[in-house]
Amino acid sequence: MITITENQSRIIQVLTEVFLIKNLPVPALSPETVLDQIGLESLDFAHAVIRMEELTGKDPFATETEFQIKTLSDLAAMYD
Amino acid sequence: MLSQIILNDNPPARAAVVTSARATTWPEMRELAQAIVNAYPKMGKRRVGMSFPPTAQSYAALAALDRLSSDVFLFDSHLSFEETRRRAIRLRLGALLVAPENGDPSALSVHELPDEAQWSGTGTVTILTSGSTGAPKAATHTWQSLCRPVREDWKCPAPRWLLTYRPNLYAGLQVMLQCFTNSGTLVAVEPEMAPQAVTQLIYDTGVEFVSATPSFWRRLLMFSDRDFLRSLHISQITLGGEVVDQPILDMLRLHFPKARLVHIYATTELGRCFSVNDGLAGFPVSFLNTVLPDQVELKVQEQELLVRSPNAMRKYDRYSDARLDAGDWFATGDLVEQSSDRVFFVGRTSEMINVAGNKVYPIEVEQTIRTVPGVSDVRVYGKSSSIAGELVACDIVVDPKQNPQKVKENVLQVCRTQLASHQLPRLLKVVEHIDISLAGKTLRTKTYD
Repeated sequence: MITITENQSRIIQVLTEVFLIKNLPVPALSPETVLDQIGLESLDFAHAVIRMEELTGKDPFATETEFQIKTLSDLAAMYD
Repeated sequence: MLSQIILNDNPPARAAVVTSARATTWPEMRELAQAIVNAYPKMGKRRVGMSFPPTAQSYAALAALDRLSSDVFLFDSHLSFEETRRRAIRLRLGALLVAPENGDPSALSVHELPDEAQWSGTGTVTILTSGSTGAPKAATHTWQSLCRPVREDWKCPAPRWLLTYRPNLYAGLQVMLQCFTNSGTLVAVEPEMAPQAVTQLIYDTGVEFVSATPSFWRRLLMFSDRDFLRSLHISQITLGGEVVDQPILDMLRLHFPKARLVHIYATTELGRCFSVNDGLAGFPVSFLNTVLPDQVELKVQEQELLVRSPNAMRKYDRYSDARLDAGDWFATGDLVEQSSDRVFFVGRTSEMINVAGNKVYPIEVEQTIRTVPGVSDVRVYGKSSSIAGELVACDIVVDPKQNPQKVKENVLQVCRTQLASHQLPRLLKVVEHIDISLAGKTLRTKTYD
């Protein structure tokens, strides 16, 4: 059974919101989802980051300059 | 000028100022003014600050200070005494006059302040405003510049005006002068007054002229009994202070078919610039590059409205943070868009939201959202983003009879089809009400929580 961390589940939640706001079908999202393959635009990503800040109180992109994000779990790990 | 109106030898017997607490007649207000002139000759020819609630006593004190040729600085009565004093010292005023909400002139308290700057040499009235950028501004008018756009109206003697603006700001002073010049009755509303209480006050006092912001009207239309509202005998509705859009004009036309609808463009610095009374949003293109009534001139430069107005203030006060740019044309900070025959306001230069390099005008997005049935009010603003600079955020108030989730979905549907993707409100919240500022304008401060 796959266990999902709290932040992974938050990322799934906010990405779902992003697709719903744009009225697009929500793709299957899991920790292994490769983020640049689900049709996210830069504004979608900005939107998700603001929503994550609201949920976690953190914005890692405001402070860090080096990122290496491929999958959904990489992104979630930045909030751990 | 105000002293000539209030210290008139033959005041009419009717009420001059009506508040929810009391009514004061013209002879009573005259007597108050005369008593203040007699009691405080030492306030003459000085820089004097005044806390300014909308009461007969305030207007009497203002007339007295005009008679004494003082430089008067008007402070909002909602400020604490300490804050008022701090600001007065910063402006190097010599004294602060605090009129209690009720009471006789002997209860007026005078606070002397250290380090008074020099009197201007003639009586002036300085309006203190934070402006849309938040920087404090002190705009010095004379009674001549304030009274210049005021009209004597022979067709309607003794008009009853509703004052919804802060009495210490330009619009509030204009309403008072327009009313008092015609020996009318000023009915003052406190900002915290409930909509039902406002309509009841209009009914009880027989108000015929209502001057207010679109935000004030939206709130009144949302919460008042519509039948009661329609039963009011309002002969003129004057809108100002914010952009007047077509839905609010249509709504007012629907409920008050007999009222004359006027929208006014004025700013603290420029004074009254022009008015529009054809019931349509914006103003005719023919207003540009010509000489309008009062010798006001308008032109557009890089999408911004520029104005040259003889109704303008004399200058910013020496101790104001704001400075007037060189040249007599004044950049208003209001952005406009021209169609073939109409000029529309699309936002403020300072309110523009920058989404990944794309300019978004909150008003344009708000106007789109307002067309969605079930949306009672809306506020659009920028939410800062570490990725995109800013994103568009919006708060909406939903008609209590509608399903908020459904309305929210419809708002998004309309935005998706009518706006560009960078204009789409990404962060959308349903709220109980939209805050409006003391000046009666929608607060578009960049916050989102």
